[in-house]
Amino acid sequence: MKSRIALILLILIFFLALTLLVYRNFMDITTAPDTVFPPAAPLAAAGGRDTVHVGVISRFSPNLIYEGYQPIMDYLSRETGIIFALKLSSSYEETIAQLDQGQIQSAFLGTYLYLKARRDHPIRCILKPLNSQLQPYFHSMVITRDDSPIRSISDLAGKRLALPSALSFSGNWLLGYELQRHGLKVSDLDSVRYFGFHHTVVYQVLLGRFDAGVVKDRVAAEFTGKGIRVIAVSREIPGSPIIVRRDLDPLITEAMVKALLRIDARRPDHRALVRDWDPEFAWGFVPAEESDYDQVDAIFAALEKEPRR
Amino acid sequence: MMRSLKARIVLFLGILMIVLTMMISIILLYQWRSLILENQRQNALAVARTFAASILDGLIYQESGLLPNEGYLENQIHNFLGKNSQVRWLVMYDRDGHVAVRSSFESSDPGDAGEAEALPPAAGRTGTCIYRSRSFGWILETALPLQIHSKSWGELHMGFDLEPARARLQRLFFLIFGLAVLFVVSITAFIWFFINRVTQSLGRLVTEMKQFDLDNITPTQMKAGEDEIGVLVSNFEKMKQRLQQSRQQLLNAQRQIYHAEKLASIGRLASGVAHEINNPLHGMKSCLYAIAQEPRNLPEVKRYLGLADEALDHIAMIVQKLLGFSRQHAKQTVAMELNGEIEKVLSLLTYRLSKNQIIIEKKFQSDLPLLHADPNLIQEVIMNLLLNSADSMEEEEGGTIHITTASDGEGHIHLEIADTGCGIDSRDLDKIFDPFFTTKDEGKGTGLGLSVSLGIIESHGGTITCQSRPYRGTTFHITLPIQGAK
Repeated sequence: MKSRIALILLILIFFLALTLLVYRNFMDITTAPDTVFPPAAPLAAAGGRDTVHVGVISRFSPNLIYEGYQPIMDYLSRETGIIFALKLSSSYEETIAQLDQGQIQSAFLGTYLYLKARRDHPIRCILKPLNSQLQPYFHSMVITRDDSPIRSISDLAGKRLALPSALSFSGNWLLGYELQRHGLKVSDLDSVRYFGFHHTVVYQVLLGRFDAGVVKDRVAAEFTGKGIRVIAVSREIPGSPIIVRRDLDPLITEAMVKALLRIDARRPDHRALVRDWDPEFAWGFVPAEESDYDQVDAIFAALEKEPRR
Repeated sequence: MMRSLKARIVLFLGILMIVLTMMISIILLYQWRSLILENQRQNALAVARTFAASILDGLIYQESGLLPNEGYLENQIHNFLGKNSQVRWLVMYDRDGHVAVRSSFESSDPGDAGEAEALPPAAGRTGTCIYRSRSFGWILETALPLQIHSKSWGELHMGFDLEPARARLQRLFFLIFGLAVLFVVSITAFIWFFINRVTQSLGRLVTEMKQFDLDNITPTQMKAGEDEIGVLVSNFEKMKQRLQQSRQQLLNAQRQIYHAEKLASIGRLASGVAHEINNPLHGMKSCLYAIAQEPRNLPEVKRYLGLADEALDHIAMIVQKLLGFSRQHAKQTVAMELNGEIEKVLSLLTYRLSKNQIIIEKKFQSDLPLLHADPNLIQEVIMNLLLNSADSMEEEEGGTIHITTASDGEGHIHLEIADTGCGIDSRDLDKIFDPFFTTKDEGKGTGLGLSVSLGIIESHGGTITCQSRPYRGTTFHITLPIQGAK
């Protein structure tokens, strides 16, 4: 009997000791440093004689611009052996000023801004992007909320309109061209307000602060099925050009052009390559000529002579 | 036995339950710990990513000239820490790995990791690490690069308080431990009661088996159920009945063997008995002859008739003794005098012994206690032993048989019959009690005498042993309990 009790006690002590051991191990939650994501590619050197600074007009918020344009810089740096670095600005005009001052040697400009800037500044376009149909065009689109009664531009009378930058094509197309075609004047609208970024225009419409807005097709596509509806689409507009200063080393220009023209969106490996690029530039490029933009330039030039009412 | 079986089953199942419960509990505990810590890690990373995104925006806006350069980050960090009590400290490194902003200048930053290894600054990767800090206790450190693709602004390290999660783990441990103990105790108790219930009828059966007495077989009191134990009870009952029948058959067979052996002994006595009867017959014949010669001499006739009557009495006595010896009896235990029974047997052997010139030396204890035994069976044993002794001295032309009786004062009576005969070969000594073993010539012995004697003595609860040396003699020693077999 005693030996049996001793055996049971021994077993209990054993299990208690085991429990204590497990407790100590269980409560020690130390972990070695782990890596969730490995380090990104080596950091590009900022500055230096061989660095080409590339400006981007402030059509999106700065972080979005970095997200979408930095991979393009990384690609160019890798392909050309020349360091390409982004230089952002707080406004469309500042980008032009940076070009003038030589702070940037190349830039992603909007079509409308390019049309205005090419008249007075020493720049030239070298490439224009392809859209998802592999055409070198884009569209501006008039958007409303899904539940809005507005069905066409004609319904905009008395409504509040949100626009991106006044120096963007989307910011000028409706007011300067399309309203007139639909028999409306700016004064027929309740109010018009410009916002810094295309995305801000969408958010303002979604929040109901504005009844309609105008954005680029690539931004409208982001929100399709997420509460907005497109009620009007512009004609085909030559894509936003990549420009360089005229005094930029032609070899650098040529290297840029060659590298970007190699992008073929139909190739799976290139699709993977451009996955993180801004969607506007993820379908490849074609060479751009000054003359490609002449027709649009002529329209706006005519409208400028006829003040908006 | 029964208790031991139950205890062993419970002990075995108990240990098995403890081991299994411990294994399951440990697996559960570590799975939950892993889930809780992973949840903490993901939460921390989510908070850190959100804040890092806001900080990154700030840095980009600053770089773009959309925000003032002075004080913005410090204010952001201050506000963030004020609203997120689970974040114990925060450090921002620039792209060269130098501290750009920190939440506190106390010794409370990643370098305070104690023996554990904190995440190295400016490694350019997202990572987490749990360690015990000297100042803050258990900390979950996250490191997030402030980086968009290859463009880097530095790195953000945040220390999250892990003490609440650890306290939760501790509560979880004790909860699981308590539940496991409760489970094991409950299951063991259940097993104990279940086995107790199952073995109850088994225990009763074991008790019945313990109380089983071959001399007093009674029907089993237990009801035979339909389970395996019921089958066992039923079979036990059948076995008892078969045993009873077998025992009866055995006793009958034994009795027949005893009687046959007794008759065989009488056969071996035949010549002696014949001589015993022959002498008085001759006397009677002489008397009749004398009467025939002088039939008118009445006094002489009367004397001869008296002598003839004496001879007839003698013959009648011999026949009565023989009949008494040969009569078949049922075993009957009575209080008997061993010395008297020996004398009765000796009286049947007088002629045989005297013919072989065998001297009987008796050393009887005069106050020998009465022995509780069957006198007929005891006589048979004595007869067997004495005949064997006489046979062993047949070729020796005489000898001595020493018969000794004594009590040891401890409830036993000892009977020793020792002869000076030819003895038994040591190789045969182990076999002499085997049935049908004999060294005598064919027709002179059945080989059952000693076997029957052994059976009789053992049935009285006694023992019989034999010591013998060839050509020196044989001694049989019988010990019998005074009160008979128990």
